[in-house]
Amino acid sequence: MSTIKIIVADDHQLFRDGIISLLSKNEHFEIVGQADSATSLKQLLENTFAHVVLIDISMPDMNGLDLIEEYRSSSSNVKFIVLTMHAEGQYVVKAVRNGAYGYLIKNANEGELIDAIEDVAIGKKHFSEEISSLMINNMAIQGESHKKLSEREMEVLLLVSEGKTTKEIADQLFVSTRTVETHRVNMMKKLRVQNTAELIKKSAKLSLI
Amino acid sequence: MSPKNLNIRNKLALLMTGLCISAVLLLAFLFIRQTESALKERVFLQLSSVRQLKATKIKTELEERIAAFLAIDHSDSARVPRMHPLFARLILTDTIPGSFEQWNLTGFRSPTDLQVIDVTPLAMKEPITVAMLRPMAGGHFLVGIAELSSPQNILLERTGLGETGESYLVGEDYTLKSKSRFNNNEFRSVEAKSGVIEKALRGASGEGIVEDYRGTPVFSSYGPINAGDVRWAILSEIDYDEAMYSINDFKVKLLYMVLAILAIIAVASFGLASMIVRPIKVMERKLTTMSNGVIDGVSTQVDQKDEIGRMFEALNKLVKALDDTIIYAGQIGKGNFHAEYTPLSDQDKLGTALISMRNQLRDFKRKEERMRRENQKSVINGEEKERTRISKELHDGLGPLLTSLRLNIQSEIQHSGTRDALLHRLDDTIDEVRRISNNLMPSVLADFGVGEAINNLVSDINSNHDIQIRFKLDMPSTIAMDDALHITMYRIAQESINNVLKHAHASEVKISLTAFEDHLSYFIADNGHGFDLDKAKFGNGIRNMNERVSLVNGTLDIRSGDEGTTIEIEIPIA
Repeated sequence: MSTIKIIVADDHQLFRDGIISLLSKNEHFEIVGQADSATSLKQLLENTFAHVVLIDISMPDMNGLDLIEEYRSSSSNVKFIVLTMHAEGQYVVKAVRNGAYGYLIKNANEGELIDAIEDVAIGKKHFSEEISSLMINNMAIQGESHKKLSEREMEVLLLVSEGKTTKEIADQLFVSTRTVETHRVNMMKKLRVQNTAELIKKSAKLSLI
Repeated sequence: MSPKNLNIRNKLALLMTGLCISAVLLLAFLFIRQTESALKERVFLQLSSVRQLKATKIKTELEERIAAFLAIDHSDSARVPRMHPLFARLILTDTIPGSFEQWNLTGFRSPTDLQVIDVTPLAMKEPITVAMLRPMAGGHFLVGIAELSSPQNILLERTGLGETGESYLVGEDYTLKSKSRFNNNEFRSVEAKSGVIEKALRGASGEGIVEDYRGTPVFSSYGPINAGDVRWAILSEIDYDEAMYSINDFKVKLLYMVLAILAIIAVASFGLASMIVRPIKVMERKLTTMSNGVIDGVSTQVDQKDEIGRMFEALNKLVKALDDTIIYAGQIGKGNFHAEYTPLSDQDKLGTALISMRNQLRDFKRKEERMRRENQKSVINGEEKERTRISKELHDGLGPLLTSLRLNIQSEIQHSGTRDALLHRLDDTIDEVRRISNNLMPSVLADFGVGEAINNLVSDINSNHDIQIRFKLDMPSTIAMDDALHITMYRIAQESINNVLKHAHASEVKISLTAFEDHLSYFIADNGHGFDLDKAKFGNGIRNMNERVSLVNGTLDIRSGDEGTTIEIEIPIA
C-alpha cells in the first residue's frame, strides 16, 4: 500500500497537532501540510499534492463546505473528508451534495478516522452508520419541486379535488385554515382562474391531478 | 347710587318713566297754557262788552242832560224855569260862580258855547254831579247842576261779573267817581292811578292784567267817556284770582291725574323692563357659571327671534362647542389620540390648538412606542448576538479543545480500560458542550435557516419526550430572509413548543411552517386540555411570543378549547 498524502485544515492548532500525532503513528500516512484557514489551504493545495484533506467546517474566513464545492468541479483530484464538531444531518447532507467523500465528527474514534482516510484515498466514499442515518433523515425533508405548483400546493390541490373542506385539509396538513385559503388563492393566481371549480378543471387539463 | 351701578332693568325703567313723565308734563303744560289763554280771552271779552254797554248807557244819559240843558231858551232870562226834572238846580247868574273858577270862560260868549264839567268832588254828594254853563242873553250865565244817579246803578249792576267783578268810573283827578264794591263809603277819596287809567283818560280803550286801586291783580277792560269837557275813564275789572279760579282748580285736578298716570307708568315700566331683562339675566347667570368653568352642555331655549334670541342661539352654539371641546380634551387626557374634532371655523384657535396638541401627543406617543420597540429589539438582538457568541465559543472554541484532549488520550494512554473510561467521559462532556451550545443558538439556524432548526428541535424532542410532534415545512431553502427574522421565528417556535410541553398535557402536536411570497405562516395545534383565554394569566411563554411577534409586526391568534389549543402566527417577510 502506497503512502497516503494528507493535509489537515483546522483553525485550532491543538487539534491539528493532536490529529497529526495520531495519524503519524500510521506509517503509510504522510502529513504533507497543515492549514489554519481556507485561504492558507487553497495556497497549500496550489503547490502541494495530497490525496486526502481533512477539513473543518467552521473556519474563520470561509465555510469548509463551500470550499469543498469550489474544488468539486476543478481538475484537481483531491478528496475531502469533513472533520467537524457539527453533528447535525443538514451539514452531512450539504457536505455530500458539495462533493465531500467522508464526514466525521471530531470525537470519532481513531479506528474510524483511519478507515475513512483509507477508504477515501482509494476513491470510496466513507460514511459511518450514524452519519448515514443523520443524512437519510434529512434527505427526506429536502428536495424542492420545480413544478408550477409547490409540493404543498399540490397536496392542497389533491385534497380540494377530493372534495375535502378547508377545515379537513388544514387538519390533515397541520396548517391553519387561513393558510389553506392562502394556498388556494395562490394556486388560483398561478393558474389564472377565478374560483375553485375552475381551479379543478384547469388542473385536470394540465394533468396536475 | 351712580347710574353705572344701576342694573339694566332699573335703567330701562327709569328711562321709560323719565320719557313718559317729560311727555306728560309737556302736554299738561301746553294744555294749561292753551286753556289759560282761551280763558283770558273770554274774560276780556266779557269785561269789554260789560264796559262798553255801561259806557254807552252813561254817555247816553249825560248827553240827554246836555241836550235838555241846551234846549232851555237862552234869549229870555225870565223864562228860565226854576225847576227842571233833569237838573238839581238851575241858576241864572251874572257872574261865574267862584267855585267854578276853574272854568275857562275866555271868549265864552256865544249862546251855543257850552261847558260841562264834573263837579262831583265839590258837590260832596253821592251821585256824580255835573255842572253845565252857558251864556244867556243880557250877559247872564245859566248854570245847571245835574246829579247823575243812574251811573251809580248802572255801575253797580254786576251781572256776569262774579264775586269780585265791578265797573267804575275814574275822573281826571284819579279818584273813583262811583261806589266801589270794596270801598262803599269813602270811595271818593280812593285814588286810582294806573297806566290803563291814564290811557283811558287820554281816550284810548283796551284791556290788560294790571293792579287795581287796591293793589290786587285784576283783569281790566278800560275805555274813555267823553262828553263836553268831562273826561272819565270807565273800567270793568274782575280779580285775577277769581277769573282764574276754575283753571287753578283744573290744574290741581290735572296734577292728581298726572301723578296717577305717572304711578301707572312707573309700575308698567318696571314690569316691561323686567320682561325685557329676564332673558338677559338668564344669560348673565349662564355666563357667570361658565366663567367659573362649569360647562353643562345644556342649551337654553328662549322663545325670541330678536337680537336676544340670536344671542342665545350663539350662546347655545358656544356652549355646545365648548362641551365638544371639553369632551375632546378629556379624550386626549385619557390618552385616546384617535378622538376626532372638527374646528368650528378657520378662526377656532382653541380647537386648532387642541388638535395640534393631540397630534403632538400622538406623535410623541408613537415615537415613544417606536423607541420602546427599538429598545426591545436591540435588547433582544443583543441577547441573541451574545447567545450566538457564547454558542460559537463553546462549539468552536471549547469543542476543539476537548476533541484535542480526546486525541491526546487516544494517543498517550496505553491502558485500554482507563483510556476507554476517559474517552467515554470525555464524549459525554463533548455532547454536553454541544447540547448547551445548541440550546443557546443552534448553528443550523444560521447555516440552514429556521425550518431546519425547527426540524432538529422537533426530532430532538420526539426522541427525548413521550410526545409525538409532527412538523411540516414548506419553505424554499433559498428564501431571502433576514437572519434576525430566522432567529425570531425559531424562538417563537421554541416558546410555543415549550408551552405545549409544560402546560398542555398533549400527546400529539402538529406544527407547520409555510413560506408565502410576502409572509411566513406558523401554525401549531395540540390535542391537550386547553385553557381559558380570558382567565389564564398569560404566562411568560405567551407574553414572550406576543412580544416577539409584535416586534416584527406580525399577528398572533390563539384559540383554545377542550380539544386543545391552536396558535397561528403570521410574520411579514421584509
